[in-house]
Amino acid sequence: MSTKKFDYESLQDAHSIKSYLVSLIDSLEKGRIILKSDGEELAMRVDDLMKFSVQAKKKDGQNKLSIKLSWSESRPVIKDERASSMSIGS
Amino acid sequence: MLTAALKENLSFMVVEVTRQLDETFDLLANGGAAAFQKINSRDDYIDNLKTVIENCCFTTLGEAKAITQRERDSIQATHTICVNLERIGDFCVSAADQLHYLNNHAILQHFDYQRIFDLLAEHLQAVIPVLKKGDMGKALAICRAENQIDVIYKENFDKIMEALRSGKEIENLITVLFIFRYLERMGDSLLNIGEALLLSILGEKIKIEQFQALEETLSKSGLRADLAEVEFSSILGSRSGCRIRKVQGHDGQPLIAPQTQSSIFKEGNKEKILAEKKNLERWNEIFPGLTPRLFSHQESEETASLLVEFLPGRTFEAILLKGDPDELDTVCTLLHATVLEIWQRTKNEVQVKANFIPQIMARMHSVLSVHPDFHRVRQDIGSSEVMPTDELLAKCRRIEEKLAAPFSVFIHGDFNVNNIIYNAARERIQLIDLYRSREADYIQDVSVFIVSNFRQPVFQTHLRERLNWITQNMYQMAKDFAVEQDDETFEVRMALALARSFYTSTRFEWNNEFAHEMFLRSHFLLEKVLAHQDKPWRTFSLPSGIMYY
Repeated sequence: MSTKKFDYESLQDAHSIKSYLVSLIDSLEKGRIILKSDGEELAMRVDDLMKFSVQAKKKDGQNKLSIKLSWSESRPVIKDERASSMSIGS
Repeated sequence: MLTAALKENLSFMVVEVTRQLDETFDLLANGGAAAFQKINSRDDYIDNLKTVIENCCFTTLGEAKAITQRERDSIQATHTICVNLERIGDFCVSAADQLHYLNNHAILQHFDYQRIFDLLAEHLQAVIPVLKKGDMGKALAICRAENQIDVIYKENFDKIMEALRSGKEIENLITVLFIFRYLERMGDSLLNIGEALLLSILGEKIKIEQFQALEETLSKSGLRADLAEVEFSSILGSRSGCRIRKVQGHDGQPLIAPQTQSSIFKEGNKEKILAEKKNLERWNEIFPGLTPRLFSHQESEETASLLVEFLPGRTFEAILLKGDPDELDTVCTLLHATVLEIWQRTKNEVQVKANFIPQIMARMHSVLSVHPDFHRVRQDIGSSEVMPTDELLAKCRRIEEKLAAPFSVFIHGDFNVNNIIYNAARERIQLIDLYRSREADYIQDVSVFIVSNFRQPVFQTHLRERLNWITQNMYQMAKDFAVEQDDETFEVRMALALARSFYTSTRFEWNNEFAHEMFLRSHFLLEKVLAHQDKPWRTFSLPSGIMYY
C-alpha cells in the first residue's frame, strides 16, 4: 500500500489558528477532509466513528497540545456464512 | 611539531623528486631509453613515499590526544607538500614519455627548458629548511617562482607557435609544446607547496596574490616594510582580510609610522573594496572618528585592497555575551546615542524605498542551497489556503512599493553586533565593515541589529534574557524616533525588514531547528502584512513577540 502524507508547519496567532480549525470543522461536517500540497491531493472520508484524543503537556515553560483523529477507512466486513456452508443433498 | 619519521620521509621525498628532475632534464638534453626506465621506476618509489607520508599525517592527526592548531597546520602543510611533490614526479614521467613521439630530438634544444628545471630545483631545495625555520621570505620566493616559470613557458610557447606557422616539423613541435605544458604544471605544484609553507608559518590559508596586494598597498602608503618581517593574523570570521599586528625590523625598531602599526589590510572583490573606500570617506566627512581611518588603497584589474586603521576595543557581540551588566548598560546607552546622532545628522527629507522583499528574493538561492526545504508550496487545509512563498513575496513586494520611508538616513548597511566596536578607553562606539553603507531606510539597520542578536547561538536562559533586553531597548529607541518623526508606517516596514533579516539569516545557520524557527517567523510576518492590506498602514501593529526567543 502506498503511503500518502501531508505536512504543514507554521507560526500563527490565535486568530489565524482559529480559521484553520474552523475549516477543518467544516470538512468534518461535510464528511470529507481534503488536504492538498502542490496539487497533490490527500482526501479522507469521515467515518461515523473515529478515535479522538486530546493530549497536553507542560514542561519547563514549554506547552504542547495535540488533537488527534484516527480511523480506518475500510469498513468492517459483515459476511453471512450460512449460504456458503449449505450443502445440497440429493 | 612533526614527528621525526615524518620529517625524514619528507626530506627523502624532496631528494628523490629533485633527482627525478635532474634526470628528466638529462633525458631531455641527451635522450636514452635506459634513462627513461630509471625515471619510470623512481616514480614508483616516490608514490610509495607519498603513501607513507600520507599515512603518517593521518595517523598523527588521529592518534594525538592534544594537538595544537599550529601542529595541525604543520601536518596539513606537510600533506599538501607531499601530494604536490608527487605530482611533480608524475609530470617528470609524463614529460619524459613525450620523447617517444619526438622524431627529431635536436628540435627540443632550440627551446629553453633548462631555466624551468633550474628554478624548480633551486626552490625545492628550500622546502625543508623553510618548513623547519619558518622563513617567510623564502616561502614567498617559492610561491613567486611559479610566476617566473609561467613567463618562461609563455616565451617558449610563442616561439613554438611561430615555428608552427612555418608549416614544418608540426608533429615534433606539438610534442615540444606538450613537454613545456608539463613543465608549466610543475610550476603550479610548486606554488601549492609554497602556499602550504605559508600556512605552516602563518597558521592561515593565504594566497600569494594577497601578499602581493599587501606589498603594493604598504609601499604606496610610503611604508617600506619587508613582508618577510611582517606578522600577520587573520580577522576572525573574515576570509578576505588579514591584520598586521606588528611591523618590526631586524633591530626591533618599527619600520613604519606608529599610527599604522596596527592596521587592517583588506584585499579582494574590487567592487566591495572600492565601495568600502568610498563609504569610509563619506563617514569621515559626516562623523569623523566613528569609522576607521583610511591609510591607502590599491587597485588592479580584478582586485583592490585597502589599508585601514585597526580599531582597538571589543565588539558589541563580545560585550553582550561576556560583559558585565553595568558595562552592557553603558555600551547600549552609548550605542543608542550614537545611532540617534547618525540619524539626525544624515536625515534627508527624501522618500526612500527599502526593498526588503527584493533583498529576500535576491538571496533565496543561497538560503535554499543551505536549507532546500525553506520555501512553501501551495497547500490547502480544507477550505483554508496556505499561500506559497513565491506568491507571498510577490504580493508583499507590491505592498512594499507603496511603503517608502518618509526620509532617508546614511545607514551602516550590515549593522551586525560584530560590526560594532566599543572602545572603553575613549568611551566611544565605532563601526567597521562599511562597504554596504548608503542612503536608505533607518529601519534596515535596526532590523539587522535585532536579528543578529536573535541568532546568537546561545540558549542559556540568562543570556537569552539579556539578548531580549537589548532587542527591546533598540526597538523602543527606534520606535520613539519614528513617533518623533511622524513616521506612520514604521511598524509595517519593520515587519517586512524583520521578515527579510530572519529569512536571509537562515543561510548562515546550520542548526536546522533554529533556522526553521527564523523561517517560520519570516512567513508569519509576511502573512500578517498581507492580511492587513485593506486597512490603513498606520494601524498595523507589529507582533513584538516575534523579536524575542
